[in-house]
Amino acid sequence: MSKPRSTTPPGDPPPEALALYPPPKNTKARTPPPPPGIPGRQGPPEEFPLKFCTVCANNQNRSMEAHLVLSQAGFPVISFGTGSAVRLPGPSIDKPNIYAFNATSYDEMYTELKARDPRLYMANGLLGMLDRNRKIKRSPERWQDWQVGRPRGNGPHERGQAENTYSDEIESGIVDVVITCEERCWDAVVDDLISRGSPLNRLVHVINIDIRDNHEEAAVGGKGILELAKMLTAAAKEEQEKAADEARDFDRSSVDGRVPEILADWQEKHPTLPVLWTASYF
Amino acid sequence: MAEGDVAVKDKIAQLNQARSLVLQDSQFYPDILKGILPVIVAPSSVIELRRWGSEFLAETFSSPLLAAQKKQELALTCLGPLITLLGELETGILKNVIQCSSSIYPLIFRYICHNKAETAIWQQMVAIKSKILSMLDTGVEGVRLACIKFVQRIILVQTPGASDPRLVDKSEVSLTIVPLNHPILNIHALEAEAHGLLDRLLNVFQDGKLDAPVITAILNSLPALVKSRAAISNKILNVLMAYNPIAIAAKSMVFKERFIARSLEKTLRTVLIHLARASSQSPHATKIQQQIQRLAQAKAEFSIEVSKSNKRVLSGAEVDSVKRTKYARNDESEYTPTPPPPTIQVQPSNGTTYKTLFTITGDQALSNFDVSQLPLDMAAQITLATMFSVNQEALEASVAVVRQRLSSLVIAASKIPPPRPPQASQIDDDDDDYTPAGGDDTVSQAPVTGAGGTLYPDDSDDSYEVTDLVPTTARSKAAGMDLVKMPDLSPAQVQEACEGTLDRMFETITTLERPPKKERAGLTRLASISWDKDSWITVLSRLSTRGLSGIDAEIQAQATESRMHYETLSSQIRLKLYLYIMGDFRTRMDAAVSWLNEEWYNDKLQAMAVKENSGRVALEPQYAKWMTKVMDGIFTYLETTDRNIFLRFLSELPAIPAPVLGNIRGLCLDPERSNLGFLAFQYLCMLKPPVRKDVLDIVEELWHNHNDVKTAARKLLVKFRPHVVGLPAKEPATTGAS
Repeated sequence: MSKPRSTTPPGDPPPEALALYPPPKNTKARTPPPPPGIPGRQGPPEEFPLKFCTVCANNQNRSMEAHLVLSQAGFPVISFGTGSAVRLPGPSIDKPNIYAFNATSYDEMYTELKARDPRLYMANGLLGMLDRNRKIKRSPERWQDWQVGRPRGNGPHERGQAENTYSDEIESGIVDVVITCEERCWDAVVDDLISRGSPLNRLVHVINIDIRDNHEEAAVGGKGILELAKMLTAAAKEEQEKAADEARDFDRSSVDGRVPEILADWQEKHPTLPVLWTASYF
Repeated sequence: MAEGDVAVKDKIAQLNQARSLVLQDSQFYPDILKGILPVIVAPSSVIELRRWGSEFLAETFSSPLLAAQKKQELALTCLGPLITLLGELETGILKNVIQCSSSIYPLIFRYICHNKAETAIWQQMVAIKSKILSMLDTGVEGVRLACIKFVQRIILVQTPGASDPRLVDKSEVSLTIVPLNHPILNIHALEAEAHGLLDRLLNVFQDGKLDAPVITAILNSLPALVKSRAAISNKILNVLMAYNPIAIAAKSMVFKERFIARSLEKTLRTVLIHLARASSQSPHATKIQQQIQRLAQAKAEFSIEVSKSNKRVLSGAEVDSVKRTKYARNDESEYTPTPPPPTIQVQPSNGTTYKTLFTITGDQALSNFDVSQLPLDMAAQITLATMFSVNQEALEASVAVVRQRLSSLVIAASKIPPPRPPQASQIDDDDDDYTPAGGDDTVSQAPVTGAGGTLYPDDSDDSYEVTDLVPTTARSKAAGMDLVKMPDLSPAQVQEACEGTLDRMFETITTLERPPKKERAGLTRLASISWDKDSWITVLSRLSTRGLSGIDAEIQAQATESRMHYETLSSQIRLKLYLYIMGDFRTRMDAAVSWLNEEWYNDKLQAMAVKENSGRVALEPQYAKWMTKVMDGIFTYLETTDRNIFLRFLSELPAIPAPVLGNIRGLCLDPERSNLGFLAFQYLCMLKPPVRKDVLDIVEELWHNHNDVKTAARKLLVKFRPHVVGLPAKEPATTGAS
């Protein structure tokens, strides 16, 4: 639970140590550093009528990969983890690195792990992942601690310190679609929504896409999620334009009724990513 | 037009600025709302403005940063605009307006409760309500989903809340806060309306439609009602118990429907699990658990789970296409004719194998089918299904046919003299150690007379044929073969096997969860109906006390004969039980109590048996021995905090042997646990009269010899033996007279 603090002074390891253990190629190629200075949202809100939220256990790998992919495509997106604490692989299976949600920033984790064992954490892809994450937002957030509807400001305290950090904060603090990356997380989210008693009276679609927790699968899953987001958005826009073409005040529909149909279509294209869905309320 | 567009864009930009202001500081909500309300609903306003306005309204009343009191004040000013906006046709606007109405309904309701004269406000609210309710069934999907939430809010508000004052949430709005004789709010009418609305919601579970968004939305809305509204929770639960989305979805196995069925089932399961956890003490918990299990079973049967590998999905699709073509064919021929009843052939065609004997169908293809190819579980399922659906008459007819064939076979076989079984004479030949008088004669006679039961008379009569139905061919074969008789297990082997079995049983017991709630069945209770932890303990303790004594005696005799050490099975079980209890005596005290009671009872039974039948050897009484042992084991670990557990244990035991009293005396002398010891003594004195004398003797001795505990001992003695401590003895008679 508590933040492990290393005694080693932070800083880069000597270059020769890194040269001995070159990082595996795929980690580098797979998570390209996001181009600096990407604006949070591209285009007017009409272009992106739906707001997304990605959820996995630790808010590190799967949800962050999806967060990156969605925000690079311009979608408004935030992300969370449902675990009790952030657990990252350590030197052995019984010695994970455990951090507190919300408290420890990605940057702090990055600096600390890099100081502790640069070659191990470079080789297993952790450093690459944390480096990506610290450019997206400040720290992993816990789903259960999320105050839905509380405005998420764009002030400096919310974002990472680095200049090139880009985060697609959703200022109203409400999303339309929650996408979880594991059935366990879906259970946690749906159960949590029931427990909260939906004080906001606001509809939300909770979708699960089962993605195994490794870098490769996360990349595949992220692509799938992006495609799904595009399909949902396209449908939403279609419904809006249906009306705009004919008459301004025509019965303009919403995407809600079409969600199962879209998901079924999506599932047929992605049979390896089992999907699950429910309509709940915030 | 272009100018107008620019103007609208400017306006929206301004509004967005205002919005970011309130998002930064919720203090500005009242001012800004007041400023923009007229703009939004002005008849001249363009659709973009109304869209924006509805969203802002929804956001305002959902905001967790705005206090309920503030919201209530604002809500009063928004009713008119809301009614206007409800006239819109656009789903997005309607969704927002209904979301907003759901948020303000409880606020207005509370306001009306306290302000009895505000008829106009209430009428506006009623107008909003009826407008929204009219869209519940007819609106487009997005609107209906918003309506469902609104209906759930109405039901929450218009049913009585918790009656227990400790559970009442002051901020909650329910019928309970409506004052009696309220001029506007009629409690009964409101509650009736709520019930009617609930019925409308619950109806979707019965009409068999697969309107997935609506159903999941309702499912997710129900737990709040079940948890906080006792009056309607039963009704809702009953509907949820009867609902099985898979049964409905299974009818069509199109890809989309499978996905929907999976999602519905999972949502239902999540809701039920949530409710089971929330109401673990209520009588519904077991029912809910059962429904969860039923769902899991139904899901497994229809295997709607999407497999994780590519390959499996493909094979699933194949099955689907096969099914679809099957359906298609059925559709073409309108209906499938029921197959003609299988013709039963009385005489097997040729040969006398078991197959021909039992084949009763004329269908060549069917009779050539090798059933042994089927996996065992499938064969079992088919058999079970057939057993349930088989036609009684057809079964009887078939049995009669097979019987007839058998008897005719036996008659036919009896015409041929069977080969004389050679074994009989051989056995006698081998038996050369012992030759009874006239041995030579009997040996030669043996095949005919010696073992009449196993021999076949050369000439048969009819009665024999009827009673014995074993076909002769088979029988002569069986006679020719003798199963190798397994040697009896040696006592050591028995012991080893027993130990393994016991270990496995205890492994099971430790993994078994205790059932959430035990039903009290009273005297009609059976020892073990459900195979839970308690039942296993009962079985084990009865095995050790009563079940195994006969076997033990037998093997014991065998062991003494071969001069081997043999630990009886029952004592092995006892030892394991003892170790099991010692593993965690605090939670396993129940097991200890039930086991020791069994021991005590059995000791009594043995004593009675010996009394009745003096020839019988009494078994060693076990109760005192094990009771003492358990106590010895516990005493080391007892702490003062174990008071309740320890006293309960003492109270539930039928007798307290003397060594245990010695143990408690030891407790009294332990400075840390002295209290516990005296408490136990006091308890025994008061509630276990048979041991009172012994206890008091010990206490007296403590009083005399140990200064540390003198005061504690004195307290007890004052009460029960006042003369010892120098007080006048209290005579019950004198106290009664005074």
